[in-house]
Amino acid sequence: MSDRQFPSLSSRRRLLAISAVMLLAVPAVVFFRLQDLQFGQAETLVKRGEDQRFQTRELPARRGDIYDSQGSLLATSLIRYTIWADPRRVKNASDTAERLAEPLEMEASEILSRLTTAGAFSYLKRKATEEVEQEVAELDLPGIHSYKEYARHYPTRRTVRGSFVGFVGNEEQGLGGIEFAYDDQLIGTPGRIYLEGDPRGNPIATGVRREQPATPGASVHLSVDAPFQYQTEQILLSHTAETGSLSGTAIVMEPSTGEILSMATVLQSEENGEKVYEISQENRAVTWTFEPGSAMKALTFSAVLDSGVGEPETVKEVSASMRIYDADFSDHDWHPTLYIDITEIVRISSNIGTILWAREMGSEAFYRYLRSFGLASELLGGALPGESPGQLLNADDWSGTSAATIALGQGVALTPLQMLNVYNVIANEGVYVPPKVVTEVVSAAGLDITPDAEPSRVVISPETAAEMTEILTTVVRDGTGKNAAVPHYRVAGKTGTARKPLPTGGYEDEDGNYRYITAFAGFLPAENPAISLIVVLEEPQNSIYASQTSAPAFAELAQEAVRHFHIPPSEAAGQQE
Amino acid sequence: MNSTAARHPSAGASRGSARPRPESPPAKPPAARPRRLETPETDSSSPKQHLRVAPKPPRKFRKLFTAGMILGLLGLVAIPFGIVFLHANLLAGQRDLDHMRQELNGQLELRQQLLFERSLAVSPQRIITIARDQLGMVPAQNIVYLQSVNPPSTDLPSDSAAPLQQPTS
Repeated sequence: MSDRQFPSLSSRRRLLAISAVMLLAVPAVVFFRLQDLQFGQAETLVKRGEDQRFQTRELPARRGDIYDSQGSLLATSLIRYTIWADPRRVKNASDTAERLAEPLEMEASEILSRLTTAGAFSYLKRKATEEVEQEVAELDLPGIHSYKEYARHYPTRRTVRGSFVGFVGNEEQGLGGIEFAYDDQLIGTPGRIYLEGDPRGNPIATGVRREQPATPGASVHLSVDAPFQYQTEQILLSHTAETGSLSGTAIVMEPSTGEILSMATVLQSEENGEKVYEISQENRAVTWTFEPGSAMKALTFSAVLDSGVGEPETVKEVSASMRIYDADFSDHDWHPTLYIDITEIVRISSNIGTILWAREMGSEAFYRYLRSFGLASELLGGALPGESPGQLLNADDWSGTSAATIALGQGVALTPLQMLNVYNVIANEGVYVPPKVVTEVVSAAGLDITPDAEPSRVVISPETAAEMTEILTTVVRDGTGKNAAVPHYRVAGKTGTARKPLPTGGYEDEDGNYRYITAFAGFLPAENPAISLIVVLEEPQNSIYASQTSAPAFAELAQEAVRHFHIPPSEAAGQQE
Repeated sequence: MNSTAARHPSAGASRGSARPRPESPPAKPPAARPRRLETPETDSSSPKQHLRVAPKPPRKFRKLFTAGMILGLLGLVAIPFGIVFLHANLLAGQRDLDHMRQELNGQLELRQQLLFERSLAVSPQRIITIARDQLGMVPAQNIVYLQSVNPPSTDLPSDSAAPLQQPTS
């Protein structure tokens, strides 16, 4: 028999009690913990679990394309890749940099500096092609990743971009031109994928998956004809250089629709003491203003005829000079007092005759016509950023000489587009058709979502427009605009030579010299206008007269336009020759 | 074992033997033939008069029941397999759809890339650069536009060749 002592009864009871308490306590703890998890933290834990299992990924929306009038791409977005590194997970940074240098076409030292930055994200290369991405992926380097994104591409030249298309930033947001003005339509709506994944983020095949596909942006169709735009640039470039002008601006439009077919700006700069002429990305056709000079007389006499103050054959006594208050006005050449009608005044571009008629019409009526023709307003309505409304004093602020100077195209500043639009009104039988650079905006679903355009309006009567057209054809046939003639086409147009104001005010510099801006605006064929054009040259050196500078450029551009757009010649062209 | 000894006493009689038959043991009562249980007479005076033997279900019903059970068991096994099969089919369909969508997107991207390259190829600047730098084209000093001699007439067919005048510049 063992001499082992059994615990006493009290000890056994105590032991039993402790065991019982422990047996009860453990389930109690478990129970309380369970009820805490179930009722106390359930919501938080469910959310945490969902956060771990479910993930939302954004699907980038493809930015809409921009097309020219012939359907050629001017801007598009293509898939590209961003190669990035998680520096915390990169092993052997110097070796990684060496291996990445070739496919990324970057210096290894530059890559190394990016691999050793603090943080979990560092760009290595953006907008890389698929081939580059594949090469990097094949290296299978730890900590090196890539993701897909869209990158904007412009098959056109920088000049078209500057004039019309504009550009976007790194995140594809519009920053200039149409890209900026139509950003809301072009940008599209990103999509989302909501899916269930494993802890590594890989989708579970049988898990939840909800996808809202991205909606690509709308495509924007422009009125510009890219090949003709190139021709416009080349012709303007040669004439700006030939005349030694500081700058040249040209616009070609279709008056009946208001569509801008081409728009170009050439700027002079100096390189190593030599003058260099380049197509500018600055779109001076809408952002720059100038005093148009005699080209304004088309508007002045349209107002005179339409208001019933005079007829084309109404004769006035016109001297060579006159004084209004403290200002002297004169025609560019001295002549004895003439008795000439309105047609003759316009043909020889008489300043005095114009002033006499403008004063007879009255300031208030003249101001109404100026506004009605679209002066002092942004004609494109924000379609091209930076458009200037020009400068026109309110009629209440006009001085005694304002009507006279404005009638001659001085003391008023217009954009080249505003000036050309005056001629468009005459070409359109007196109807103002708002100019436009965007013809159509089409959503990804194929719906036409073009913003409503400003409605057309009648500015002058068709009879007045016809009379003005006849008067303007005489200018080209045997007036100041002979050099703007295009064989076999009746051209209606007007020269404009104006003194250029100095930045400090006034027109005469310290040496007593004046600087000039010349312009020629018109349309053809006069009997059925298909295109309208304007050429503006700033400070031409070979001559101060538009007939010697802008008119020949107009003629060449018009010849190229009728050839390019297959415009049939005038039936009554014999009168022209 | 001796088969004779084991023979049943009644077996010899059947053969018509002349030997006297030994005294036969008391006749064993014939084995009770299974009989359908008769419903006992109810004795209204018995205290268990409300109890009675339930009648057996008809044989046809029993067969149907058995068949149903077997079918049910088969169904229980088949349904999970069916669900798995359906799910697998759905997954395969989804995978095919994803694949086709991916392919469609790829083709659309390719189309866009080709459009882009086409626009680059037809760019006038590119053509002129190639013509000038690679093919030796020299741009003319002045552009010459050819003019027709006769005033144009709308009666002429569009493809009629008009006599040409001296070029003017």
